[in-house]
This record gives sequence, C-alpha cells and structure tokens, in this order.
Amino acid sequence: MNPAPNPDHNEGIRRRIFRRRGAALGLATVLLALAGGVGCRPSVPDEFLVLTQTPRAVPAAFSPKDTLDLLYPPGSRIVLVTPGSDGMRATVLSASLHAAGGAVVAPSGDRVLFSGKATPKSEWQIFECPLRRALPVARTAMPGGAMGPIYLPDGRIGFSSPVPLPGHDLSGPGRPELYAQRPGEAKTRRLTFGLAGALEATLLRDGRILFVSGGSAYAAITNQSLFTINSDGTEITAFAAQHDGRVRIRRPRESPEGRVVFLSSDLSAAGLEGRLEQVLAARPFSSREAITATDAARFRAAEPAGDDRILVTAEGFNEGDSFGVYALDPKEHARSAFECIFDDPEWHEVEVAVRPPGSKPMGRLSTVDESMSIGRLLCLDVNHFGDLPRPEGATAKSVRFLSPTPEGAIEWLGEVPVQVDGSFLVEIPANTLLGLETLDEAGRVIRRLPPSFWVRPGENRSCVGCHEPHSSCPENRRPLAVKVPALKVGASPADLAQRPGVTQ
Amino acid sequence: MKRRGMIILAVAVGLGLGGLVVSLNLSPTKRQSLRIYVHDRKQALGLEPSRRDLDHMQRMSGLTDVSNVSCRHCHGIKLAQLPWNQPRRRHPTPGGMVVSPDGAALYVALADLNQVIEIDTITRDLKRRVPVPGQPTGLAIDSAGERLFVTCRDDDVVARITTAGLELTGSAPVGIGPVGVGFAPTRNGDRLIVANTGSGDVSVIDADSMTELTRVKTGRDPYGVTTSPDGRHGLVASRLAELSSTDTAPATELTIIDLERTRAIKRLPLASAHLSESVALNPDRGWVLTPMVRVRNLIPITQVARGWVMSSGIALAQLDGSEPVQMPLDEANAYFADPADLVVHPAGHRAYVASGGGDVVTVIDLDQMFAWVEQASPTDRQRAIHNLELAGDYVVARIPTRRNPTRLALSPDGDTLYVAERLEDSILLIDTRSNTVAGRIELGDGGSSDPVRRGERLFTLAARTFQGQFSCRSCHPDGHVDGLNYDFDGDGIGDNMLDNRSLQGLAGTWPYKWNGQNPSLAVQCGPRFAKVLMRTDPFSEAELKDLVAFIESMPPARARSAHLTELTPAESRGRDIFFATHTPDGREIPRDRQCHHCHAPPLYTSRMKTDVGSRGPTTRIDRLDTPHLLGVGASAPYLHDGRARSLEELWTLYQTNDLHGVSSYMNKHQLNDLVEFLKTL
Repeated sequence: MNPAPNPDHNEGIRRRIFRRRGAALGLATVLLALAGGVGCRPSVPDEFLVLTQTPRAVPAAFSPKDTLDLLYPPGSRIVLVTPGSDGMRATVLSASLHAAGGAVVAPSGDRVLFSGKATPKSEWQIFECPLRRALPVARTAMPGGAMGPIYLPDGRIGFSSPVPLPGHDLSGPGRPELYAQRPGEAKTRRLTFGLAGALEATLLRDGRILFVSGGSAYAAITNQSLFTINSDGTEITAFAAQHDGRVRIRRPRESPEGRVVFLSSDLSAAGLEGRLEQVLAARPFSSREAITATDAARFRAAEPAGDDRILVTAEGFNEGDSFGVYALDPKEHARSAFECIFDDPEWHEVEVAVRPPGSKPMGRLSTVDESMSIGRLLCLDVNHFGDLPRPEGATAKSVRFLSPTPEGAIEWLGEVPVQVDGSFLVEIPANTLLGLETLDEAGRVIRRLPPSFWVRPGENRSCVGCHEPHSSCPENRRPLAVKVPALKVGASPADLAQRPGVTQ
Repeated sequence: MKRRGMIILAVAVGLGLGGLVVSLNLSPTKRQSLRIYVHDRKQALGLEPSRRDLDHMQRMSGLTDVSNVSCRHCHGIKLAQLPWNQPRRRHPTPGGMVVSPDGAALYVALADLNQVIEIDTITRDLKRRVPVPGQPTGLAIDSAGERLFVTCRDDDVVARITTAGLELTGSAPVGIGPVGVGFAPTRNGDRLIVANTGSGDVSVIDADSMTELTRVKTGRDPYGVTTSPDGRHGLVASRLAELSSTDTAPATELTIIDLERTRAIKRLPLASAHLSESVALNPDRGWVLTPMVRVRNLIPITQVARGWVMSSGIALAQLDGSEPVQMPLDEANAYFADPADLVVHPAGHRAYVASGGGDVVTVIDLDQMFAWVEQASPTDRQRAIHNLELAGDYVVARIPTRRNPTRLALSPDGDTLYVAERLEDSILLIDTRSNTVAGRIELGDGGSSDPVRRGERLFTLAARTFQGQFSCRSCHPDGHVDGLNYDFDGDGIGDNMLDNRSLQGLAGTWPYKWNGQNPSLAVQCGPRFAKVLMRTDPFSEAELKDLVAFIESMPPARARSAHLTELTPAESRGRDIFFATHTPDGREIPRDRQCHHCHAPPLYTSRMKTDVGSRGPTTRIDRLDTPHLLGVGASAPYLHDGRARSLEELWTLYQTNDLHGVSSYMNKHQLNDLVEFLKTL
C-alpha cells in the first residue's frame, strides 16, 4: 500500500470506514468485547476475520530468541472478529498462551491453527482452536519448535520446524523443513529434505503445497523463491521468483481467481514489512508484478478476501497509526482506495486470515511407498539445455550424482552412463538432497545442478532436460533409457558394463 | 453368525426348491440356470464343487486349478439383459448447430431425441422441430439458407431438410458413422462433404440430387469438416492418429480436398496430435485452424504436471501445405482439456475454442497469434506447443460455461456465439463484443436425475484430474479408443506399454485391465486409477456408481455399414471359420485353440486369462485377459501392447505356434473371411 494519502484520506481511513459501515459503535464494542464483555456465541457466522494482534509496545528487556519472537512478541494473540448486530465483536482465541500468531482457518471454517508459545520459556508449537469458545490445544511437540501451520486436504496438518533463529538465511543447520502430522498422532512425516529451508507454506487449489525456500544452499544462491511439492513431499518443483534477485518472500496466498499474492522485501532489509506483489498461478514465471504502484514495504500480510479483493495488514496513513486490516482490489493498482476493515488503535493487526474462499483444494493419493529406500529419476534428454547456451561440442556421456554431507561438504554418490539420446533412468536414494553433474567423454563437467532436489520412497520423478524452461512440456519421444532396467547410482563400472542395453 | 445362518438356510431352501423344480421336469435351459445358481451358492460358501462340475470346468477351461472359475464365465449372459440394451432416458442434448445466413434461426441437432429443432434467435424460443431418425449429429446449411443437411450417425446417411417447411426431402447413403458435414457451392454444382468416422473417408455428395459422387480416403476417424467460401477446398480433421509402431510418435491427418476435382490434394500430418474434432478457415490469411490434443504417450506417465501426458492446442496450417504449427491453449498450471470445436469470427481477428473437458470457451486474438508465428524461427515454431508461457500472449478471455461445451456456432455478423452445453441440455449465448454471457437457451432440465447423464458428466470432466489436464474422454472419445499405447508407471517405468481398450460394449465383460486383475468397473475406475492417472482424490462411491452406469450404457462400436443387413458371403465363410472345430481337411482343432472357445458368444469372451503367445519384451506375464470382440473391428490396434495394427496382423505377424487359435491352415482368403466376420461383431 502506498500510505501517501490523497486528500480524501486526511480524515483517516479508520474513522471513515467505520462511518461507512454504519458501525459508529464498533470500536467501543470491540474494546468492550476484548475486556470480556462478549457473551455466549451460539454459532460461528460465515463472515469473520481471524487476526493476529501484537502489542503496540514491546518490553524493552525483551530479547527475541527466534524469528517468531520477532514476529509475535509477548502478548501477541489470535482474535476472532465477527460482525454483530451492535458492531464488530472480538474474541481472543489464544488467551491462555504467552504469545501467538500466524493463524490459518480450516476449509470448514470452524477451526484455526496458529503458532503459539505457552510460556516465555517454552518453544513455539502449533495449536488448534475451535472458533466456538474453547481453549487452544497443542498439536505439535517438535524439538526446536514449529511454525507456519496449514490444513492439508487429507485432514493432516502441515508446518515448518524448527523455528529459525533471527537473521537465519534458511541455509545450513537449523534450517526449517516442512512436516505433516495427522491429528491425534505423534508421528510426523517430513516432506522436504534440505533444499534451503521451507517456510510460509500454503495450500494451492490444485492440492500442492506452495512454500518459500532459500533456493540452493549449495550454489551461493541466497534469494528466496517459491516452490511446490505434493502433499506427500513428491515432485519438488520451482514455482516462481527463482531468478529474480535478492528478495525475501513472505506469506504467499492463492486467490480463487488464480492469483498468488505475497510480500517481498530486500533480503538485507531488517524490517518485517514487505511490498505487495502477485503472480498468476497459471503462469507464475512470466507474470510477477507489484500490486501497488509504490515499492514501499509497509505490508505485514495479505489474504484473498474471496470477492476479488485482497485483505492486507498495513500501517495507517498518519504518523503513529497502528497496523490495521484493509481491503483493496488488486486490479485497481495505485488508483485503488484502501478500505479499512478493522483497526484497533490499541493493537497492531499484523495478520489476517479468513475462511479459505472458493472450492475446497483438490486432494491427492500419495504415491510414496515407505517400505522402499529408493526412488527413480528419468531424464528425457540431459543434453537439452532449453534456452541456455550449450557448450560447444559438449555432449554428456554420463551423469554424476552429488549429495551434501552432514558437515556441509559435497559427496559423490556415483556415476551412471547416459544413453545416446541423452536419456537416463536411475535409482537414487530417497529422502536425500541430490544434485548432479553432466560429464563429457573425458569426464569434464558440462553442467552442474547443485543439490536441490529429492525423491520420496517409491517416487518416479522425471525431467525434460538439463535446466529446462520451467514451463516446458516434453517432446513425445520414447527415451532409450526406459527400454532397459533402471541403473543404480553407485554401481561399480564392472556392474555397469554388464548391464544389458546400455547403448552408450 | 446370524447372517451366515441365513445364507445356509437360503441355500438349503434354494437346493430344496431346485430339487423340487428338477422333479418338475425343467427344460434344459432352466436346468442349466439352476445348476449355475446352485454352484454359485456353493462357491460363495466355500464348498467344493461336485465331481461332475469340476470335470466340466476343467475340460471347458483347459485349466487344472479352477478355483477362480465360475459358471458365469461362460454361462448366464444374455445380450438382451445387458445395460446397453435396455431402454434409457433420452435428453434434448444439443449437438451440431448452424445459424441461418440471415441470422434469424439457429438449427440444432438433438441426436438423443432424433430431432432437429429451429430456434428463433431474436426471441430465443423453440419454433419448430422435425424428426430425423438415426442420431442426427452434424449440420450444414446452403448459401441461400433454404436447405439443411444433417448427418445421421447411426443410419449412415446424410439427410436434406427444407428450411421453409422443415421437412425431410431426401437423403444419401454415405460411409460408416457420418458426423461432420460441410456445404460448398462449386463451379460444378453444390456439394456436400461428409466425414465418415467409422470408415475413415469423406463422401462427396451432389447436394441437388443427393447422390454420392465419390469417397476420398482421409485420416482415421475423420470428424470435423469445413469448406472454403469459394467452394474450392474441403478441409477434414481426423480424430485418431494413423497406426504406427509403438515407438513412433503418432500423427493425425489434416486432409485438404479439391472439391472440383473431388480428390485429396494435401495430407498434412499433425505430429503427436489427436482428437481434432473441428476445423475452421481464416480465409483472408489462408490459415486452417484445428483444435487438437498434443499427446505424449511415448513417455512413461511418471507425472501429470506440466502437460506430461497431454496438453491442448491449435494446429495452424496453410492451404498450400506448408508445415503445420501447433500453438498451446494451456498454461503452465492451468489446462483446458478436450478442445472440441473452433470457430473463426467473420472479421478474422478472433477465434473461439470450446473446451469440452474444461468447461470454458477460450477467446484467441488471431492477430497476436499469427504475428508470433510469422516472426518465429522454425525451431521456435516446432517447440511452440511445448511452451506453456505462450498462450498468455494471445488468449484474450476464458469464458466459463456449464458442463461439456462441445459445439459452437457464430451468428453471421459474428456478434453472438452459440455454445452447445451438451450435458446440460442448454445453449449459452456469448456477446463476442464484450466476451460476456448474453443469455442461455434451456432445452431441457439438464437430466441431473439420470445416473447415466451424471456418469457422463464425470466421464467428460477434466476437473477431476490434476489441474484439469484431461478427462476420461481424452483417451476414450465417445467412450471408445484413441488408438494409442500408454506407459503407466504403476507397474514400473518402461514396462508394459499398454494398448488403450474401448469402453464401449463393456458391460458384463469383467474382469478388466489387460492383466485381468480388476473384477469390476468400480474397481477399475477407483482409487488406483486416481493414484496412477488422475493424481487427485478418487471418485466417491456415489460417483463411481454413476460412472459405471454411464460406461455400461454404451453399446459396442460399429465397424460395419448400417446399410448391410445380412452377412455377406465372405462374412458367412468367416463365421464358419470362427466356429470351426475341424480344419477344412478334417483335422480336429484342439478345443482351447478354437476361436469361440475363448471368445465365446454372446460377448465373445470367456472372461478368463489366456496365453496366446503374445508376451512382448516388456511384458511381465504370459496369461492376459481375453478381450471381448464386440466392436473389435473398430478398435485397432490390437494385442495388449498394441503391436498389431490390424486384425490381419494378429495372425500374419504375431501368431506364435498357433497359440492364438489355429490359423496355420488358413490361406489368405480364409484369413480375410475371418477378419470380415470379426468386423460384424
């Protein structure tokens, strides 16, 4: 949002919107409600907001231990706001917790998940709370804490763990990964395997999990970008912003009409705010654009409202204003007038969540076979470089697989020959971060993909070529590699020589 | 325990009644039915069959272990009782549409009701209707707007109707399964071209005398036709790829016909394209446009994302026959499956594509698209269909429709686009100036109470696959075959390249899959299917019930002209060979090598697994499901891996030691006769 107001804004958005909505008593009602003046609520209405409110003043002695402490200082809370006959009514859902934030609403609209901290000394974990008056229940007990919850289509919840330290660049030890857990079960399943952190997960309408990662921790690429996986951790795929410079990305959310809105800021920026941007879900690589005309980073959160508008949390237009919740039409860009939806001057409304608009996201049956320790990778033509220049005369004759060691070094797992048509089919260790190098006849590296992908047990993964365009379909050609049994990474040269059908 | 007791009691009562009925001197047929019933009950209770039954089953099946054999593998099937032979609910389903030259009337073929109707485009009211037997499907109108021409798909004729009286005034016999029809005023007189889907040709008809002048061979399953305004050219789009080896990329044919000389002048292959069901011409630029599915069947289906299995597009070709260009309709994360029809605005700047699976009409800026094509390098043109970023440059709008938009018609001024929402019994009106919905004509109630209709909606719905990439229909047009092989990764990458099998005439032919492992269609279409192919949530139990109801409602395909009523001499001789127990020189054919032993009437399957020596290099098992033969003449290629391109090749190229029936004694005439008989089934 560009807070530089036009003259109409001089009176302050907050008061104007309350007047427009005929809710002159709204603020008083809110305050009354927050003071405990709200009575028994028989049911949850369809229209409601779930807010994360942070105190306007943080104790000077407070020292954040992790990024959630930074985002949600002590006293931060989750608040349910509903329109009542006498104005907006608010109920604190996290009253029993020391701090809370990052709420998401279940597709059914009757529950929320959020990150919470029970005591000043405890770790952040995922809590769930029915929207009817009830106490939140801890859903996770992850060492190092958990954050960024989502509801998965099959009823499980997903989250990132551990909670990174302040200033963590998402690479190296302590980086967060995505996990899934079925309610009522202690067992968690890891979904990501060390790309360079996995945060800010959200569910796309096609059932995939969209998340933010730091790119490859092994390629000196430190910008954050968006990736997708299926809900079982298969098919790690770049989604957007992989080549867009040093940006930090927060809170991606898909709207029913097919936009993914998110906040971006310079990677080096210290603040928690970001610019408001969007990509089209249909073709995210070629459609990134700013929603507001300014690059001022003043937003803390964005959430599709379900009526073509976006709800954002942003600072008010006047000096000293708190953060509030506003609605804007992304198609209007700079001409858009920001409509204030809710602002309690005693608190910062830093995040807003609503019942997920649109149809329920598509589910998916998992293809993971936990009894296996390997997956397969089929490359159709490793000599296909897409739009990248191909080194003159260089033709890959073999592929070497790489994996990082716990110490951060790169280990060679082995080499496999490439078929004359550039294809190879290989069995690779599952749940392991992998990279590869294509080698010419003399063993010289032609191209190198740093460790940046994995397969799940039993997963069959494919790629078109070496650094193919992200939006490219394959040619309809029967790869020679599928006519022979899959090769095993790490097989000895003697073993490989005895394999049938290797036509190299 | 209580339930088990009830079963035992029921069996006892059954046995008692059976004995009573036997004592009443039952007919042999009824006695057999009773034996089957008793055997079924004993098998259900885990009881051993009688020695006599065991001997019978072992002798007839050729198997020692008959634990998985039931009487119903061979007995108890009556065609008359199968779902596709039962009366079903009929719907006013809009099919082919055409607008009169003055724009006042919209004519719509209602195939299910055997009618053609006339709608007043001003009032949007139904004005008149005329009965047209034989599943009226495609429509064309002459330049003066005086004569309508209707293809009757079941009767293999094209009929003529006067618009003044809406009366049938003549018809002409054509090839098998006519669908598309186009009118062309040539220098030699008014002509019709009719796409005969089943016989793979087009009939050129004299529209005045309604006589067939000639037939021109086209690609497989010709479907969409159009003619150039000057009447010189007829254009034919074919749905199925030409038969080729399983390692070769398929290609469909776009046929350009000189209507004055009545012969094909260009046969343009569309690489890896299929399901082209429409063709349109942009006369000013000389571009021919046909919607298509770009299939990637040679690649193992390790994923669905990024159009790995198929994607949708438009093929552009020049009348001069230069190499066609395929342009994508899909985007990286958004797919618009089953592009069924395409029309070009009279001004030539816009094209409209109906996505039958995606429930969308896509509006294309042709100026932008042609500009891209004209500046693109040959390499970029060749790769365009794989670039899912391109469509954003020329797609102007995506207009949602109700279920299954399949046919389009533009008003003469181009201001109104009529969209047949086939499975909703409605016609959507789109204002092309604003690309907004201008109204809807309701022809019926949509048929939502009909499980067959609900099942077909699911069958054609792409939204049930990941990102809406394809529907069941994408591989089974009309519930039939697409003639391609696919490599599913559920059984290993590169193993078991499998021929697609027809779903027509499938009722009662269990088990399913080439390995015969699925006992029912509900299992076949259940969670495993969702996991391997749809990559989404599986169908619910209620949805599966509807889906099965639809599949079982489809009668077998037809490979024989409707004008033939009795078997020809060749077909009769072939029948004798099929049912032969001895060779012509008197040698006995072993029972398990007699055609009708495994392909037993009335379904022409024993429903058991058989080894016919067809194991291929990537096949893991010898014994495969015995397919039924109803409509077999129309479902090439053959064998589980599709290596036999014709029925003849089953015995000329892929017969092994007479395992697939004894054929070594046959001369070429006898083999031809056998094939002719098979095409009658």
